Amino acid sequence: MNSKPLFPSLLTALVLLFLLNLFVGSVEIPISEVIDILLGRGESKESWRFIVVESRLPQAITATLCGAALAVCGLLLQTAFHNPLAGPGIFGITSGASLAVALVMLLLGGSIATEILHLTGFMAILAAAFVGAMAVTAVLYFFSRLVHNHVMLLIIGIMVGYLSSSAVTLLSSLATEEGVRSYVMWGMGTFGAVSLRHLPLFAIGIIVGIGLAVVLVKPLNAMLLGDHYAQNLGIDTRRVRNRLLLTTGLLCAVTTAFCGPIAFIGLAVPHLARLLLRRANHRLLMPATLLVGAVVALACNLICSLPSSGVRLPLNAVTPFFGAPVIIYMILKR
Amino acid sequence: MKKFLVLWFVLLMFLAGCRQGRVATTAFQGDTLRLKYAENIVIVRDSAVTKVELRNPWGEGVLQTYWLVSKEADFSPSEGTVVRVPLQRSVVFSTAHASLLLMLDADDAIAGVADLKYMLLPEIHRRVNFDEFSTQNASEKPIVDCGDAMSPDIEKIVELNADAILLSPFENSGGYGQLEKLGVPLIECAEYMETSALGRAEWMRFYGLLFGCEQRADSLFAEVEREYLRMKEGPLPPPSPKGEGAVSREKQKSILTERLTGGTWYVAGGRSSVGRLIADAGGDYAWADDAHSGSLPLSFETVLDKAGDADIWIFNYTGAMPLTRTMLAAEHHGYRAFKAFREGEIYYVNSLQVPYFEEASFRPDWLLRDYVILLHPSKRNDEKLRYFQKINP
Repeated sequence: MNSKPLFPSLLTALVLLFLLNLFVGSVEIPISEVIDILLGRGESKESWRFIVVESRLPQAITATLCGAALAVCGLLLQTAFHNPLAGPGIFGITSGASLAVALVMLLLGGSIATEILHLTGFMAILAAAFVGAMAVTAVLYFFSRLVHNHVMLLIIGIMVGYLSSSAVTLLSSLATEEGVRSYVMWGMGTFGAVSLRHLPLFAIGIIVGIGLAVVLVKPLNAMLLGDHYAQNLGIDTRRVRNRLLLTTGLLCAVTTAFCGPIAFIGLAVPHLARLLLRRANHRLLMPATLLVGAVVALACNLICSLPSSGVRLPLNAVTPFFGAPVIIYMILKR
Repeated sequence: MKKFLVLWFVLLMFLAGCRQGRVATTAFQGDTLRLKYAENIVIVRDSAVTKVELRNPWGEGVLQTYWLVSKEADFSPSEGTVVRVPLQRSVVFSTAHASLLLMLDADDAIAGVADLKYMLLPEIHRRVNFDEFSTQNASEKPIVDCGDAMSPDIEKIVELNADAILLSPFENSGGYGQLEKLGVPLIECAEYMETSALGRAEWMRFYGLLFGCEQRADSLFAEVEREYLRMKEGPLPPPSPKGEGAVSREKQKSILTERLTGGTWYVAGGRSSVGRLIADAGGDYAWADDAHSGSLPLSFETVLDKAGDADIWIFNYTGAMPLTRTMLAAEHHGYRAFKAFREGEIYYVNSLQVPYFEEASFRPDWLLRDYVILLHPSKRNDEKLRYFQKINP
């Protein structure tokens, strides 16, 4: 049985990487100091206390939740659509979020000011990304009720993605340099934008989404062998697909809103989990995917803060760089 | 073989010397114009021709060689670009140069501009919105809007019959595309790569030569230099001398620059223009010993650790609304940890509303004055800041 040693090792890796993310950063803080700060004892430099509690800790938690959320999104989509290349990005959900953010950053100048609502900065981006992602999810849900074929729905999703991209291109050409730069920076993704204050909101969103995904484990197992087989077992595949779309939509909306569009984790982690687990049973595969997603995200976050010169690497540059060779290696090893 | 060629060439020169206006480039001799601060430009003049050589600021060699000759002169050098001066129909791509020409009263020579949306110059906008039938601006010549500096409208530039295009070069630009094929001299204005503020401003003497207002340019620069050095040596009049006429010494204030963009905080390097302005204004800067002349990409943690206790925080801001601390904290929660944030000592330049980019290149004395005022709080009540404004609580 391969699953026996896997989960403990994954949990150990998770805890280890979480701690490493607290101990390691661009500023060198002695481990004993970090522990003191976390346990709330001792007199430490104010800036160090701030860095550990308000910068590194939220980042580590965000990375854990975000990695798990994106990975599970990828798993749901890959199983339901029988497509190993499906990921959160392919449906255009992240593109919809990106378009909404582009509208706010490039067209509206970074703030949403209406009579009832006035949002600036992070809150404006957050709201825009969430609304954009949910809007695309709604569109896909609508089409999902009309279109029976999985592939057709995927193609519709891809087209939505292209439309969003072209709209963003147009907005970029008309915008100011600062606007375009801000937008590109947002597109690089980060785990560091969630403050301690916003963390509960983020955590609730993710946990609700993951909860919804867990409930889908049984029908997903049935769908592994094909839609007809699942229908014979009494599973309403269309309804499952719709619920799945809403779940992934919610999870993508929350992660993209708080962290920007994060590439690769949703696509690659389910494969990584399958390779490690060697089982397709979603009862085991889903927790494995969650754990591996969290581990990968924490590892990437760690790599981002490694450069000793104090430069922080952009997240979306690290995620594929880290994961793609790992996947290729694992495939070759088999 | 070489000697023979030189002899033959010299013989040709003798023969050609009879014709008026012909000048040899290989044996060009002239007086070098003494530039005190600018390092990337060399100007050599003789009676008929001025040779301007721009050094490549990103590496070795020469960026450009310009031969400034009068319109009637007959001159074909073997290398370099011939520019017929004084320029009368130029296309200006940068607001800094448009503003300089206004200061030198040579703005009539502007026939076209690019990046108009970044120009906070009412005179330029007025001439762009030229109304033929209005009697008000009968004496003003229209200016053509040539679009975006990154992708200018070639057709409009061709149509307006420009005699030069002033643009800002950048490293590894890969050429200027169609602009190079127009046959119009491209003046690569690389003054922004100078490492000292006065060095950059001194380039105005080159532009004075281009636009036929060298004396005005020279005297303007003399004024800028005088004011800048005056600011640097002993800033503003001391409030009240303490004991034996000595100037009261305030504790040196520390200062932090820029903000987070994405996940990176690009602070000004120690030898960048901002870094040197801080040093000249008598401020303390956490990266004063850094040798970069550009910016340093750092993480939030590093900046907090090294400059979390800075007394003052300055940066550029573009926005329609005045900035408040709440808005700033909304951008990134971590800003609240900075001493300057807690005390509200944050000053920003809203470049959409004040002519910062218009004036900073060629009037560094005005900018230095602002830095001096910021870094010497006792002066702040009496002296008004020209560019910076304090953040709203």
